[in-house]
Amino acid sequence: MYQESEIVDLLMVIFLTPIMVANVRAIHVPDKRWFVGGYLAVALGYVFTVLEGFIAPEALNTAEHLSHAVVGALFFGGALSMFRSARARVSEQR
Amino acid sequence: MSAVALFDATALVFLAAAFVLLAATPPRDDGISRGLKYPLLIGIGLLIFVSLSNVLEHAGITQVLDEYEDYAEVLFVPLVAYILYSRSSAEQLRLAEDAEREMRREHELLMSVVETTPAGIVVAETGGTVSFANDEARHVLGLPAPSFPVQASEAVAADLTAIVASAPVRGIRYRGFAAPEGAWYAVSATPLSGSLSDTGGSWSSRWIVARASCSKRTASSSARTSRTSGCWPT
Repeated sequence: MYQESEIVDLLMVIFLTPIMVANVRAIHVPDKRWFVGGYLAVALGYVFTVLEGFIAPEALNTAEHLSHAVVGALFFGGALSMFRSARARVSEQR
Repeated sequence: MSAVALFDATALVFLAAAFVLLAATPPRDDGISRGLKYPLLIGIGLLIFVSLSNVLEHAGITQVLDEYEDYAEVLFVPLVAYILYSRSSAEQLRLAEDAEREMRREHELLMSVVETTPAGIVVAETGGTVSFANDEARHVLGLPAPSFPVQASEAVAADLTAIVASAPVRGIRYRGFAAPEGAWYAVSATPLSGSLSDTGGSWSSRWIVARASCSKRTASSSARTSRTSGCWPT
């Protein structure tokens, strides 16, 4: 069965994501796609967490944790990309 | 090791690496600023805590972090929303400041052109209230030092009212402005578009350009040189 905190997480994703979309489009951050992808994977994980209380608990639990791994990989990709571009700028300045 | 534990361990390793890389990235205004970097580190830190809790739980070590894991998950989405909102606000503020600087630069350029042009330029309203006049216009209209709005003298006000009422006009010859020499001027006037008043009503002012058409030749030599340039035959 689902927990209350999981429902709260999902509701926040549902209500805050549309507001965030406008801000994401407005900001100029290099390689923001990685972080956007990571956030979407987190949101998907919340959906799986709630759904596993109703259907296919094993499969959706695995999918939830798989989404965590994807989040890690995407955030790592974004951080690596930012780190490289920052290093490249420092090298150019020298 | 179960697939779930493997995924959690993978997430933990990647997130920890992302945290270290991000912490080592020097902040820059045009890239990852301080205002973005540290909240992002907190966000990744929350996810690291969740992954660590999951790894410990699914590896059968301890479930002690499990009850706090929910707090971390609940905090994550609002934190992301805050990061995006603050970044967006900061960028909009920077754009507004850039636009204001550009506008001031253009204003200074235009004012330098207006102030140095040999034509008299006036923004006037019916009744002779002058909202702006350049050096040449102040000289022609006999207005005091630049302090606007100012009410023109009765004779000049009548002239301005007549021109304002006839606007738009272009290049008409006009003898007036109570000039002591009784000079002729080539006058153009156009209504100012837009709503510039606080009340939102239409602005009754007219943009008037008065160029000395042909002043009396009794003026001094230097004055004649400056005031008869572009002189129309009368």
